[in-house]
Amino acid sequence: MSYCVNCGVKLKPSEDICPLCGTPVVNPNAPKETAVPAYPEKVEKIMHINFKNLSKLIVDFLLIIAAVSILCDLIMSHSLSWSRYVFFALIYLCCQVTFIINKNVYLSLAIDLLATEFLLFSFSLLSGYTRWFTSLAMPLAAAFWVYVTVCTMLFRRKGRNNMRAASICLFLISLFLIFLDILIHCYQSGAVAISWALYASLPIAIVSVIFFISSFSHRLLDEIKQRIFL
Amino acid sequence: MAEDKQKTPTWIKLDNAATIYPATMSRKYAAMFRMTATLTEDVDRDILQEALDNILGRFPSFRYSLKKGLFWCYLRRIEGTPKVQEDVRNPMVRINFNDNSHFMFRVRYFGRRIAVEFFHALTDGTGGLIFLMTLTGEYIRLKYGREISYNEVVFDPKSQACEEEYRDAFQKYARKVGGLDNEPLAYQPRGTAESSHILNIITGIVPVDILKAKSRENGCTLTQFIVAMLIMTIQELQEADKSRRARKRPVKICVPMNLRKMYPSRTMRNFSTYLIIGIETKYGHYSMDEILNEVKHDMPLRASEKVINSRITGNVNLERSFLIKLIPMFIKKYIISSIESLKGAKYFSTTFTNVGLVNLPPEMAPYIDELGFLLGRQRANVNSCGCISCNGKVFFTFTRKIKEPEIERLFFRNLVEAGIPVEIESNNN
Repeated sequence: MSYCVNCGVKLKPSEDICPLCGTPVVNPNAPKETAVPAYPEKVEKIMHINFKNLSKLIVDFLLIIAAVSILCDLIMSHSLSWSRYVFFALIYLCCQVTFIINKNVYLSLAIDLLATEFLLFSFSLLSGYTRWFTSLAMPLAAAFWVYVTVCTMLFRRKGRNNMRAASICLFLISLFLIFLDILIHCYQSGAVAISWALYASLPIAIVSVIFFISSFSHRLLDEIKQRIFL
Repeated sequence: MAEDKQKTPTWIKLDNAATIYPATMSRKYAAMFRMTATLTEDVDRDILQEALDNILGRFPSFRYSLKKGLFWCYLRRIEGTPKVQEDVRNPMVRINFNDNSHFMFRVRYFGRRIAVEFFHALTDGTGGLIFLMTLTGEYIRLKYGREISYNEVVFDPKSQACEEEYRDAFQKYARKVGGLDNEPLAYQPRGTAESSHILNIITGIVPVDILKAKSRENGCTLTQFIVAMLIMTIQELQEADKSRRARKRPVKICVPMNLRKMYPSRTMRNFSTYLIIGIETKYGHYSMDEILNEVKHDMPLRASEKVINSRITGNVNLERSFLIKLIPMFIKKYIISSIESLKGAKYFSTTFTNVGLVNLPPEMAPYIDELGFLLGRQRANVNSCGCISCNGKVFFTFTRKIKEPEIERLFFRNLVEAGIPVEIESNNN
């Protein structure tokens, strides 16, 4: 039976270091006694979901659907018509499975962007019109992806201020709306112009600036949290 | 083997406190607690299994398994007896009901220790204590042939259970009007997280007469003294915490309270509520005397019958509310679970639960060395403290899901500095 020289507590014989402060127990006079441990060695494990197997299962399932739809198409119309669209859509879904297996969210988001652009590109090739892809769909998807990535970055930061992150996301929505307006005008008439976006984005921008400023006041945030809670 | 002499219902609803536990259950987490009895000799597995078979008939409310209904979870009666298992280093990993014959408790043993772990939807600390003591009494009777004089903690396995034991006492004692109050958020100590299946346990053993003398010197009860010590410990941690997150939130302790002392009920299911006692550290540093003053006067006020009943009735009214009843269980589960994880127990810094002095029958006392009461992993708090006393000793068991034992170290150091000797045991993770 020893005492911890740091904490002053008595330690049971089963302890070879003090559990409170980590100081080793030294008792030079006592013989080496084999103390009975207080707890067994065995550690119980909990069941883990095997995400690799789950994602393999999902991909297999999607490939089965693809095979069935191609088969149906060949049987019914003796050529690949609508099943090509189904096939590319299923490839897109397969790429989404990376979100399950990949720990790095940003890598999954990058794969997601490539998959989206590839899907839209394949649809534009299959339908024969490519102009809508190059001047409308591709930049729009890219802009939306940038928005989602920035929001993810803001909300994943530890010790973030929720109100501040929300205000920046709101401000980015107003920028996105302006970009959308310019893009549509470019596609329709080739000129750069802003019409309706100002009416939509200005109020959103003003509200986001108000939220941003008020996110610095902790007292206000506490008051809001007290009133709006479930 | 004692038979179920009385007809218990095939199925019963969960009691009011238990309705939240299945909703917050997940693969890694379930609200659990554990009660242990350390004997003077090594535990014999076969005798322990026989003792369990003998006493289970006396506790019909434990013969139920959890089932999911469309709107609420419920309990369905099951037959048989769970098998006694070997203990592990990391107790209170969530019970896999399929492995455990669908029972919501499990009996484990290691060396000289008998341990029973309960899922909180089944019973509370008092019910768990009675079960463990009855099991230990029957074990002692079978092994050593001593006839036990049964009392309010150790039941006679051959006696009949009354209907009140498996009824929901909350419904019986709730009145018409209730109110649930808004609590401000409390300071949460932090640390490096442990893996989700690991629980670090430190037990401190203190002589009860010295502790009682110290409490009497300060003019308070033992529970109030320990709560004040805990508040002082966490205040010390908060003052050392330089992060902005500490931001002078109040330090509050949750103290569960057994309602069977306030209302005459013999229910073996959940029948307890909680008090939240604390100090506002943003007004400055509190000395031990100031903390004791707050605790001594605040606790009896919060434990008054009207305040307690308003909370019980408020919770029962929530359950009775027509709108809440209509929401299907799978939606309710996600709503309750997400509210729990967002807010959950962040209204207090830690929990201190005390089942009090266990009145051991004189025939059992020589064979029992120690008792233990510990809570499982908490969702929002990093640690919790369970307290039980017998044979002239008080056993404090801290469980934590972080690596650093700062709260325990400061708490026991404060006890030692107050002149109270402490003996320590841990599960050496």
